[in-house]
This record gives sequence, C-alpha cells and structure tokens, in this order.
Amino acid sequence: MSGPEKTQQNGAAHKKDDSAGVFAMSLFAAGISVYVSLFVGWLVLPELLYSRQHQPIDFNHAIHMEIVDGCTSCHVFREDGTFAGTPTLAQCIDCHEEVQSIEPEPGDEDYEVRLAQYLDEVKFVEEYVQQGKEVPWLIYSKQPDCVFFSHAAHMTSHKFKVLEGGKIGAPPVEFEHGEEPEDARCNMCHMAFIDGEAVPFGEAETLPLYRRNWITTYPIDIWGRNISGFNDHYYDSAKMDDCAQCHYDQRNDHQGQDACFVCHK
Amino acid sequence: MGETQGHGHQEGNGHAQGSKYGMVIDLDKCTGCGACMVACMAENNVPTKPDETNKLDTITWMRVFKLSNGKAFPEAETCYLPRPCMHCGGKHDAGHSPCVSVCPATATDYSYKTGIVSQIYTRCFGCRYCMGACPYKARYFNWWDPKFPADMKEYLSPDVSVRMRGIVEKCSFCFHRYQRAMDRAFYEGRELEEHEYQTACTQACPAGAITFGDLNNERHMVHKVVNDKHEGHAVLQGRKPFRLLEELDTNPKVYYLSARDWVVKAGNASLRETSPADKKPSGGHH
Repeated sequence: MSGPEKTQQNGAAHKKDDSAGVFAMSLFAAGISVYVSLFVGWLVLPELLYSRQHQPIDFNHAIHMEIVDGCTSCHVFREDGTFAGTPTLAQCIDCHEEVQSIEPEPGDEDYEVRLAQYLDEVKFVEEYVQQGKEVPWLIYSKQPDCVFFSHAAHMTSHKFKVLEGGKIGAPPVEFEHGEEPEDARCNMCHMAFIDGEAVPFGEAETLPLYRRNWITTYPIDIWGRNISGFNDHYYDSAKMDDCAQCHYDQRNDHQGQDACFVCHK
Repeated sequence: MGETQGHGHQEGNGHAQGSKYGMVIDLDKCTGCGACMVACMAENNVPTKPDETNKLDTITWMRVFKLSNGKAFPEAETCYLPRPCMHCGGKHDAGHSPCVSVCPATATDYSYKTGIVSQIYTRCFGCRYCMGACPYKARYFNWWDPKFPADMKEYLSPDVSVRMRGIVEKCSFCFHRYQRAMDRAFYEGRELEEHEYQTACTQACPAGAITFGDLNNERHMVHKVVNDKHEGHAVLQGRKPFRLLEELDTNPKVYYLSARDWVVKAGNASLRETSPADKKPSGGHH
C-alpha cells in the first residue's frame, strides 16, 4: 500500500472514531441535561415557586385545646350553619387582656420553647390586644374567588363519611350514633404540615410555615406538597380534582360527577 | 348539596330528573322599564364601560328588546321582550344545549339537578364558540378587564365571582342565590321553598311580569302557569305559553305569554308569515 492511500484510510478511520465520539458525547450531554432538568423541575423550581412566611403570632393549638372543647369553640359557626371565619380578638381578649405566662428563667426545663411562647404572647398583647388591632392571620385553606364552599353542608351532612385516617380509599370510621367528634370532620381536610409530617391542628404546638405560590397567589395547601399532584390523603391538597374525588367517593351510587355549579360561583 | 330535592325518577335520557328551574315572562305586563336589567347588573357584578354609548359592547345578561308590529298609527303596537339566558336543555332535556355542546373546555355544563346551564369563568379561555352557537345571543364576551368606579367596588357581591378580560359570561339564573338558599335548607334539614330562590330580575320587576321557580314542582307557580292549571282552573285566559325559536329544539326554560298574535309570531320564526317582499316572483323569465 502506498503512503498516501494509507494516510487516507487512517483519516477515514479517525473521522469514524470522531463521529462515534461526538455521538457518545451528545448522548452523555443529553442524559445529563435530562437529569439536570428533572432535578431543577421537580426539586428546585417547586421550592422557588413558593414564599416562606411565618404567621404574625406562632399560635399554640395544643395548649388551647386543653382548655376549650373542640375546634368550634374558637372556629365558630353561625346559627345558620355558615362559618364565621378566622377567630377574632374578641374571642381571645377575655384571657389575654394582659400577658398571662411567666417569663422563664435560663436553666428552666424547655427554656427556649417556653421563652418563644412567652415572647409571642407579649407580642400578641402589646401589638394587637392593646392596640385593638386584629391579627392578620395567613389563611392556609384560602380558596380562589370562583369557589363556593359550604361548611354547613360538610359539617352537618349525614351522608358525609369520615374515612379512617383521612386516607383515600380507607373504610369509613364507625361511630356510635351521635358520638362522632366534630374534629374528625375538620381533620379530613385541615391538617398542619410541620417538618413534613401531617399533624391535626388541635395537637400542633406551632403553626406551619405559610407558603404562597408567587404566580397564582394560592397557598401550597391548595396544590399540595407533592408536585406531581398524587395524594394519599384527602387533606394533602384541596384542588378541584381533590374535591371532585372526595365528592365521588362519598356518594354511595358512584354515578357521574356533580355539575360545575355545585362548587363554583 | 341538592340532596333535599325530593323528586327523583329516571327520565328517558337516563338521568335522574331533579328540579328544572325556569321562568315565565308575561309580555302583556312588561312595560319595558328596564328594572330587571339594572337589578341583574347590580346583583351579578356586571361591569360597565367608561363610555357606554356603544351598546353593542355592553354586557347585559338580561336585555329588554323592543318589538313593533310594523304597522302605522293607529294600529301601531309595541311590545318589550326581556331576554335572559334560556338555559336550554336540548332535546328531551338531555343537556345538549347549543353552547354546552360546542364548548371545548367544559367551561359550561348542564346540571341535571337544577336544569341550569353554568358558566365557569376560570375555565373559559374565550374561544367564543358558545356565543356563535347560542341562537338567542345571550352570551357576552369581556373585551376588557372589568372597570368599576371606585365606590362601586364596595358594592360588589362576594357571592358572584368577578370576570376578567377574555372570557364569556351569561345569565346564571342567579345561581348563587340557589346556593345560599340550599345551604340553609340543607342545614335545617328541609326542602327548598319556592320563595327562597328567586332571581334578582323577578324580584325587581315592578309589574310582576316575571315568575320564576321549578317547572317540575307542581306547587310552584311557573309549573301552574306553563301547564295552565291552578287549583283545577285555567289561569291563562286562552293565552298559550310560547318559547323563542322553538323550532330549533333547543328546549328553553324561559316561557313567554302574550294575548297578541303578532308577538307570538315574532318569537317563533316558523309561525311568521313571509312578507310579500320575501316572496320569490312566480313564473319564469322571458
């Protein structure tokens, strides 16, 4: 074989090697891009999408539940069954006209927790009670304007079934006639997500972080913490599909869907 | 919701028959004052424009039309015809309303429990197929974001969602009033009474020309009027309820009453006499 011919063959082999290398590199780059996109799309963006806000006062439900009798002691319903909204100062002022708790001393048991609670109460009394100003609570379950939701229907319907642990597909809990605790109904939809765990609000010693979608302005409790939208429990999220799913599950006939105008206005 | 509605049997279309809310408008009583239009706009947060001179753009869920018999004095007659959404049930009330059938977004649907055609503003993306399909022109498009004069914002009803630019809206038979009334009836464990759910236009009409209620409920006045039977007696004195463009089989839930033949014919194309000008000349060309 002459010199130039050999060089040509070597060149062709080099070109073949090069194109295979480029293809492998492209495949690798594409693979990396997919992983990066998935990482950004599923883990980073959802974190960036929601604000991180603390409530004005870190209300301790657990302490208060030891004194009162159930959720509706403070989360009041009117005589016609409609929900009166977030508790107001009028409901707190009887006990909290002045600071009630005692400032803990360094070295006391649970010093840091008790100090935080003490400071919260001082803030509540000084900034809101004494000024006659309502606390601007951030509402976890605030629905869009187009939604009509009736607490009266959900709290009183004899057809409403409390499912075990609020789990989708779980069997209904059998209560003695008239013995169903009202909180069981509340907990079907309202749970406090603290450090990734769902806790009944009545047992929570702190309030969950409030996270609001920057674009839609809806709280994360509406879409849910699972970005895929798949849920295990009814309280995981409160999207239209979740309401429709629960309405469907609660019906014995399992026939068709409700009309749009049942929950929309 | 809707559970205390007592009457439930299967109809030919396979859907359990619930209520069928409808309206009867007595055109011989209507004076054309427009109170129904004003009440409707106030009740349903219908926005106004800074310049309302161009009425083609004005959103009027309830619109009063002026009809004339086209004759010269002294035979000239006028009739005012209020036109809300007809809440068509389609053939056999199967829910195939013209608008519902064409909506690609399921932004409008037919409720078999109430017979009301909904419009969900957050679901509508403004293609306006429904507007083209509606033979009654009862649907309106929001060409602009709503503008309410500063003080008027305080008067907006929290029960009705305010619309945005780029979507279609229409009369809902004041469905939010049904929701409120049903809520209370449900809580008290009883059936909804006729007077508890009435539309704003019905209550505002000073002449009492509008009657609203459940067409399927024998105790409701609309049922009695449409069937011309009240306590065993005929109540319409020979007048026959008619609906607009009945020949289209849209099966509207708004009935009209009039003793005047020309008014009845005006509402129904198939009954209209062809005018001499429309008649084709007979015979061939020479």
